[in-house]
Amino acid sequence: MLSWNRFAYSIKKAWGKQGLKVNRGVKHLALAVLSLIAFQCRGAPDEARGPAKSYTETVTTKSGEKVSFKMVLVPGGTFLMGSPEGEPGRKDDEGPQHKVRIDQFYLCTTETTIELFLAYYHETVSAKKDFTETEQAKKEAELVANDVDAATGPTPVYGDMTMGYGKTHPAIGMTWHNAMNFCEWLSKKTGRKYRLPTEAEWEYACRAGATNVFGFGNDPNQLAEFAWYKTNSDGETHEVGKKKTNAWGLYDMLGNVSEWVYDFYSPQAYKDAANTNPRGPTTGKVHVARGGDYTSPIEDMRCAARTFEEEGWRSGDPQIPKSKWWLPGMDFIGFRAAMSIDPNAVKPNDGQK
Amino acid sequence: MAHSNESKKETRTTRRDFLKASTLAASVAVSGALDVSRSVFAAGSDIIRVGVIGCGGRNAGAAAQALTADSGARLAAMCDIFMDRVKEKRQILKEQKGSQVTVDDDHCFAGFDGYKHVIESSDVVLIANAAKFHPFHAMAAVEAGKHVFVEKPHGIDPAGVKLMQRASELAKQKGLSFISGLHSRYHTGYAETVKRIHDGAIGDVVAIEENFLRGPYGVIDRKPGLSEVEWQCSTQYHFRWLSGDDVVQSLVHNLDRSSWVMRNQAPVKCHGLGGRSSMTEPIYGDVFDHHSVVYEFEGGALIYAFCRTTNGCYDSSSSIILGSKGKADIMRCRIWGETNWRWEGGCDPYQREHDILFAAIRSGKAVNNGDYMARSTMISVMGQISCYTGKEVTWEQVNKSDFYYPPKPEECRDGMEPPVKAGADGSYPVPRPGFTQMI
Repeated sequence: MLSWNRFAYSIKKAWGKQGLKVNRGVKHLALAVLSLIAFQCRGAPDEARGPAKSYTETVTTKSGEKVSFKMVLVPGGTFLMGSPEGEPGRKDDEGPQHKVRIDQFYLCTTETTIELFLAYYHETVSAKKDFTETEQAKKEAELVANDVDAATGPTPVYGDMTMGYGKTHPAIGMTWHNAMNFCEWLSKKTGRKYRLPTEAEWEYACRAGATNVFGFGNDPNQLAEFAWYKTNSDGETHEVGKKKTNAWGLYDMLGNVSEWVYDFYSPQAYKDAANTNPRGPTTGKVHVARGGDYTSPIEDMRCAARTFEEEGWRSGDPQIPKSKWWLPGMDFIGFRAAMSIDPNAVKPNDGQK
Repeated sequence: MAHSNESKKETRTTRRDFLKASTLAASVAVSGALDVSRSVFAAGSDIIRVGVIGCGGRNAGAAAQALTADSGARLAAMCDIFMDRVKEKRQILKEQKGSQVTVDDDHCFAGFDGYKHVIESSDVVLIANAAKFHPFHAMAAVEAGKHVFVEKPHGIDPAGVKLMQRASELAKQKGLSFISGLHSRYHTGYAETVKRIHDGAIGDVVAIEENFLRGPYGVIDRKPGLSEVEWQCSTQYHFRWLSGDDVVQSLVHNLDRSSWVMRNQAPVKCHGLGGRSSMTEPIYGDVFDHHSVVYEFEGGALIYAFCRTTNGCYDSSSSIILGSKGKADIMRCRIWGETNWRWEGGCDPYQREHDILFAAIRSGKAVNNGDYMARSTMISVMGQISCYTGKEVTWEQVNKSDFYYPPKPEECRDGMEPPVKAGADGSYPVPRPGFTQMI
């Protein structure tokens, strides 16, 4: 493992060597800034002429408490997805870098909190299951085939879903399926179409118009101002929204917990990706999680770094078949909600079976 | 930057329970160190035949862990009360473990007597069925000269725990391995934390808070055609005569950690309270949905232990140790106070149980967990009895008692009448503290 200083040095060296790319990067940045300005002129003051820059969603829990979160408008635009070959810490699955057009959408300013996830859990949890897991799977497959909402809520978690963390910490240890189900629940509850961001939307929002390594720049010494990661987390997740936001007002895009995105994982995903609103491979086994977490070293905190569900993520569940809902003990994985503006944009259950 | 397994492993450290990366590498390392030439299994081959008694989710998991632990392990025989569970789990395991699953139709057994055939066809027996049967099946396996992995609890009543103790002693005499599913002892992070407490990191232990507060065990709709006894067996966590209820079934993990911290002592007495307030429909059988037990040790240290199986309430799963010089949280592997420390690492204790079991079998050096498995389970049994009767229960009393939930495991027959039956309103009678007598 490279020490941090060595990493910083490598970055400088890499950028130094690739002056051309830097120039190109600056151009992209300038374009992004310009389009942001153009967008704001077009949309901001008058809602009739465009969507609001942000809004606050409030959910009333089963016991009558109100939980709020803030959604910000991510402006539509084009960006370069993936990392350049010289970027220190880069892995092969981050390439090739390719141009992607993203439509505007809303993204939650914070990771989904335990408080909000508990509201969903308490409202939908059911101890009831069918006689056998296979019968249950069969029944659910039928329901899906008949376009009926199969799942109303998760089975009780084995142990404690909060894992001892407070309500303002990120929700953790849910499967991708459970995170998707949460979005369905939130959509029904609010009448807005919530969903997981796609991997491309996530990276676009994380970069927030920048073309550098971390979104805020290339200097890892600044990382602690923006993110909870291995060096400063003291081995724990932290309250959401306590670090600086990125340029588009989003907290903790890097660090704290890794965030589920919509896409299946494939190391080849970027080779034949769509260039407008890509949704990832149509088939796959595991899903992508982004942004690194409180245990991550610097190289996993880069905007381009990708991770995905590993076999060990299910090892906290000693049963077979494994729970469809929970990853017991896995306190490093969470998610944040997105919302589409364009009704033709990606929907939660679109494309993947 | 190198992305070897090693760097991946380092990036994947968490204070929490489990290894995020695949456990495969660790298992291979264990198996690789074994001298397979010494094997004396299945008539001189290198194959170790594994049999499973009980085909619920946990034993299917244990079977996969056993097959992962040792490449020479073969799943050879399976049984459950229900044949459809046997076939379903065989199919899933075949998909995951391929040629290591050799069990054919002739080695799939159903009903109360299936265990006999599984034991005959195995070198190692994995027992994870209704806890009522754990001691009886463990004893049968050891008598037949087989190594044992048995899930917690190790008995649901004083008679059962004593039988388990005798089985572990016999295993010791015969040089057989006898491994417990009380997984905390196999968690390297918990072990490091307990070791520091024993070395004085928090001073003298004053009190322990144990929580296992969460939603209920899954319930299922009653399938048409099931007899009453089959119905109860199919939802065994909700019937006392099969599972022993929640202090025994689940809080035993917490009580095992407490007893471990207290240097494997047993408390001298306890008083408990419990009842059924939310999960009261007939589908929840005849168990309580909340319990609290206070235990007292020689010297005055106390355990305050709570378990609840109710949706929509505050949940917590923790073992908090309060000492004269600080505090420790076993499950978070952290210590605060005069010493501030946290464990950094990953561990899959479920896999480790089997890695150690198979390494022991290969090396001929038996591992036996009998000592703490009987003690920790008896601590849970005494607490459960106190909750049901409403009386103080002493360690001496519970150890003198031969109470058991009828019928005896050996008297269970397919097609029998169950010992508890629903009343006219469909609900089952539950204990009444202050009136119920047990020991």
